[in-house]
Amino acid sequence: MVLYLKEFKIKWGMVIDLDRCTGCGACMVACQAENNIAPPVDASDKRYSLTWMLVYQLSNKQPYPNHDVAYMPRPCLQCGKPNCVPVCPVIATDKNQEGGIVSQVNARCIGCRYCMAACPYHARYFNWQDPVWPEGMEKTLTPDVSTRPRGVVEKCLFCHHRYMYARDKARIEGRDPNALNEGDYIPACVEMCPTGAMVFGDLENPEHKVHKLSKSPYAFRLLERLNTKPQVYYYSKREWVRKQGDNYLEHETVGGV
Amino acid sequence: MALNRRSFLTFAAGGVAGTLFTPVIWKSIDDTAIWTQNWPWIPRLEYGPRAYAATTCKLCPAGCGLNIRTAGGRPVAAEGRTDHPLSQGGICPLGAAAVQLLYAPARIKGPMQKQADGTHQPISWDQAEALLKEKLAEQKGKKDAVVCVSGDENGTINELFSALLGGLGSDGCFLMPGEQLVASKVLREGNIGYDFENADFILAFGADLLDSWGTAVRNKKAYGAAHPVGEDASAEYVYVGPTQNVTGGAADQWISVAPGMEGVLALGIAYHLLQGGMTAPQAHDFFAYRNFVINRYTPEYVERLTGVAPEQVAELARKLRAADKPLVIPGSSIAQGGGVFNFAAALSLNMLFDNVNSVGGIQVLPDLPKVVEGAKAPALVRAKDLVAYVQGVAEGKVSKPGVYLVYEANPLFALPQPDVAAKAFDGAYLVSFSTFYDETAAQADLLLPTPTFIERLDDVQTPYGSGFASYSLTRPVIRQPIFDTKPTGDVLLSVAKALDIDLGYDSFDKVLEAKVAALSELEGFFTDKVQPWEARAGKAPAAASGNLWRNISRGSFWASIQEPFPTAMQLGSTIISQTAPPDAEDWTFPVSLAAMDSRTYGSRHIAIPPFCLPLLGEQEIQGDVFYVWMNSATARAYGLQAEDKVKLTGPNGSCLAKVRIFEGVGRNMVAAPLGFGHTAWDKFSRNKGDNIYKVLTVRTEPGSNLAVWADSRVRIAKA
Ligand code: SF4
Ligand code: SF4
Ligand code: SF4
Repeated sequence: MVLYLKEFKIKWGMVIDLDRCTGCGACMVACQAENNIAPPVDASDKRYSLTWMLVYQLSNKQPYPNHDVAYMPRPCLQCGKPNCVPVCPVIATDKNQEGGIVSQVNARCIGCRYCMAACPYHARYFNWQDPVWPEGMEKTLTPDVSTRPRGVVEKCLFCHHRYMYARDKARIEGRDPNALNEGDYIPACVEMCPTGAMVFGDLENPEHKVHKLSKSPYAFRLLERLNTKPQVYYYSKREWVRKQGDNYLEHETVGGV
Repeated sequence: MALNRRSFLTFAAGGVAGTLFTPVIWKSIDDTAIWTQNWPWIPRLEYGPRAYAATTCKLCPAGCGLNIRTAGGRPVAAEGRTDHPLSQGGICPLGAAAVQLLYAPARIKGPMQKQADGTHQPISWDQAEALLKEKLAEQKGKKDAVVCVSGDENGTINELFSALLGGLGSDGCFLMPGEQLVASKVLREGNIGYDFENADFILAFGADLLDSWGTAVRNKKAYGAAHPVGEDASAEYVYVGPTQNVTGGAADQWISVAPGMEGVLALGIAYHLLQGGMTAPQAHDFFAYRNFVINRYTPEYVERLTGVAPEQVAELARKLRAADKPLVIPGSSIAQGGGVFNFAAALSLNMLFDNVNSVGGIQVLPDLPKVVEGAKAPALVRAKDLVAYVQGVAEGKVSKPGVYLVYEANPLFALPQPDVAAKAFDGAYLVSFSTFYDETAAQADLLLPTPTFIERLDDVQTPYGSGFASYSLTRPVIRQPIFDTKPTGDVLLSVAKALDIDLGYDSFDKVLEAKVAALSELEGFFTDKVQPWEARAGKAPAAASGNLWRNISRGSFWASIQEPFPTAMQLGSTIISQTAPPDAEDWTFPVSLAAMDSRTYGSRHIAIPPFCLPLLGEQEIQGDVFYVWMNSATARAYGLQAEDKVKLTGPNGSCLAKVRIFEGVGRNMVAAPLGFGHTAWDKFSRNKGDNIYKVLTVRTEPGSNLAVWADSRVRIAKA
C-alpha cells in the first residue's frame, strides 16, 4: 500500500527562521492551550512530557567567547514520505487529505507506538498517564480538540481544526476552500510568535511566502538525507546551524552561500 | 448497551478500509473520539459560541495587549492582539499561560485571616474590611506607620495607595524595584522611553530587551521587523551583558562583561567618540564629562576592568558612528538592582549622538495626569528605594511600620536578601492583596485577594521602556470572578471611607473613568490607523476624540508622542564620576553572579505557571534541583564538571545547584536563574530549585546612595 506517497496540490508547510527565533517558548505554550494538553507537575522528566511543539537549543559548541546559540522550534514536520504512517497497524495515522497534513485519529490508536519508533524527529508522544487538569482548569479546554486518554499516541496536526474553520469560512463567503489566501489558516504557534520567526502557508502556491523561502539556498530540512521530505523547512544564514540541522559530518559541505 | 471505546473499535473495524478511500472530514472523527473516550477522568469538552475579548495583560509591567478567546463565555486561551502596538499579535510565554492561571491551584479563594496556630481561615469580606480598618485606624496620625509595597509599576491603583497613606500620615508608598527606580535618579521628571522601531543600530547594555526588560513583546516585534525572513536586516542589534541570554543569543553581536561593568564599557566607547571629535554642546556639563572620560576611561583601563579588548571597543564606537540612527539602551540584565553609574554612563552615549527626543532616539515621556486628590506624583513614588528602606528597618535605623500593605508583589521572595525583608516585616501587621498564595501571602495576617486581570477592570499607563506615553485598560472577560475576590481599588476606597478619609470616589471604576477623562488634556490618538513610531517618524495621526471612555474600555489603545517639557539633559558628569564602581579585586567572593530573568520563569510577582513548566530544559531543572550555568574554563578553574553539585555562597546567603556547562556565560561568572525555589504557591512551582534572591547581596552605591544588587559576587565550590 503506497497511498501515503500520494502527491498533493496543496502542501501546508512552514519555514522557520532560526536566526530570528529567540527561543522564548511562547509557541509551546500557545500549542498546549490550543490543543488541550494537560499541565505536567514535573516536566523535568522529558520521557513523560507532551510537547507537540518543542524548542531545542542548538550550540556551535565553541568555547567562550566564540559561542553561538540557535533555537529550533520543532512541530511535527508533516513529512511528505512519513515513516510513521506505513508502520501503523490500524491506520490511526495517515496522510491522505489535500494539504498534506499527517493525521492522527486518537480514537483509533491502539497505543502500539510503532509510529514513535519510526519517527526520526521525536515528534510523537505517548500518553503514559491520564491527563489531569487541576480542578476548574478543565473549563479552559477549547472546544476544538478532543482530550486524549492514557494509552494513545498524539502529535502536532498543524492545528488542523483551524484549517477546517478556514475552509468553512471560505465556503460561507463563496470562495474556493481549496484556494485559501495566505493568512486564512495559521496554526496557533505561528500566529503567536512574537518575532515572526515562523512563516506558514502553501508550499506549492507561488503566491505564498513559504513557497519562495523554501527554495532559498539558506533553507534546509531536518535530516534531509533520510528522504522523508518534511513540509517544515528551516532557514539560517549560519552554516553551523544548517550543518547540525542536517547531521552533516565534519568534512561535508552544506548548501547555502 | 452503551458502547465503550473498545466495542466501538470492533464495531468500526469494517469501516476502516472505506475511510481510507474517501476524504473523511476529520472533525467528525474527532467528535466520535469525544464520544468514545468519555471516561470519567477525561474532561468532556464544552461547546458554545466563540468570541474574543480585547484586554491588556498585567502579569508583568510590559502591558501587552491580549485577546482572550472564549468559548461559550469561558476564557480558553490568550492570544496577542494585532491591533495593539505593544504586542502586535505577539505574546510571551507567561502571557500565553494567563487563562490557565485563572484556575491555578495557588489561587486564594476568598479573604482569610491568620489564626493563632499560623493557619489561614476564611472570613467574610465585611469582617476582613473591618479588620483592615481597625488596624489602619490604630496607626492613623502616626508618621510613616503604614507602608505600601506595590508590584504594579504602572497602574492608577498606586494613586489610591499613596492618597490613603497620605490620609493616614504616611509617606511610605513603594514600588517593587525595577529599572524605573534607577531611571528616576537620572531623570527627575517624566519617564525614559526608547524608539526602537525607528533606530537602525541598537546597543543594549545589560537590558535583556528580548525577554524580561521593558516592553518585551513590542521589542521583539521591532527586532523581528528589522530582521525580515529571507531579506537583509535593516537594523543591527548588539548586546553587552554577562550571558548569552535571549537577547545575547539573538543579537547580531554579543559581548560579555561582568554585571555592574556595563557602564565602564560604555565610557570606553565614549572615550573613542570624544577622541574622534564628537561633542554634545547642548549639555552644560560637556567639558567636565569629556575630561573625566578621556582621563580615566582609557582603552587600557577599560580592558583591565571589563576584559574586552581595545579593538573591540573601538570597533563598537565605529559602528555607532556609522549608523544613521543609533540608540543606546541602559539597563541591568535582570531589570533591577542596577546602579546609577551604569545607567547614566550608557545613557550619556545617546546624548553624544544628540538623539534625545528625536526619531529613533531616547524619549522623555510625560506622566499622565493624576486623578486622585492627595496622591503623590508618580515620579516621587518611582524614586523611592524600597530595598534601602527595608534594610534600614531591619537594621533598626528606621522605625518599623505598624502595617504593611502588599499589592501584587511578593517582597518576601523577590527582594534581594529576602531574610532581611522578613526581619523588616516581622512583628508588623501584614496585609496581602495578592491573587495567588505567594510567599508573602503565606506570612500575611490578612489576605484580601484581588481578582486576576482577566476578571477585573484596571489600567496600564506607559510601561517602562515604551517609546511613547500610552494608556489602555484591562477589563473583566467573565461576568463573575471565579472566586470570592474583590478588586483592591474598591477595598481601599471602602476602607478609606470607614476611616473618614475622602479619596473622592466610591468605586475604582470611577477612578479609571476620571483617568480616561483626564487624557483629553494631552495630545493623544488611537492606534487603529497610525502607530506611535510612525507618528514620530512623521505620519499624522487623527487626534483622539469622541467618547474616550467608550473606546478605551472596549480595547482601544491610546498613545501620545507629546514631549512633556523642553529637556535640558545633562551628560551626568557629576553623578558618573561620583558613582564609579570600585576598581578592586574581591578575593573572598571572586566570582560574579550573573542572575538571569526570563518570562519563562514567571515575573516578579507570578511564579512559574503550570503551562510554562514544559519550557524548562533538562539542564534547567531536574526534579527539585536546578542548574547554574558557567563556561567550561570557569568550571575547570573551580574543579567542577557538568552535573556536579555546586554551592554558591555570597556574603549573605547560599544555595545548592547542579552545574550546567554553557559557553554563553562570560569569564569567571556563574549565571543563575531567578524565580526558582518557591516555598508557597502550588505543586507546580513549589520546591523546584532554590531562590537566587537569597544570594544576591545589596551594596550601597556611593554618590547615589542607591541600593544595588545586580553586581553581586559569590564563592563557588563543589558540594
Ligand atoms: S514563539 Fe517564536 S521566537 Fe519564541 S520560541 Fe517559538 S518560534 Fe521562537
Ligand atoms: S515528523 Fe514524525 S510524526 Fe511527523 S510526519 Fe514525520 S515521521 Fe510522522
Ligand atoms: S510580556 Fe508581560 S505583559 Fe506582555 S504578555 Fe508577557 S507577561 Fe503579559
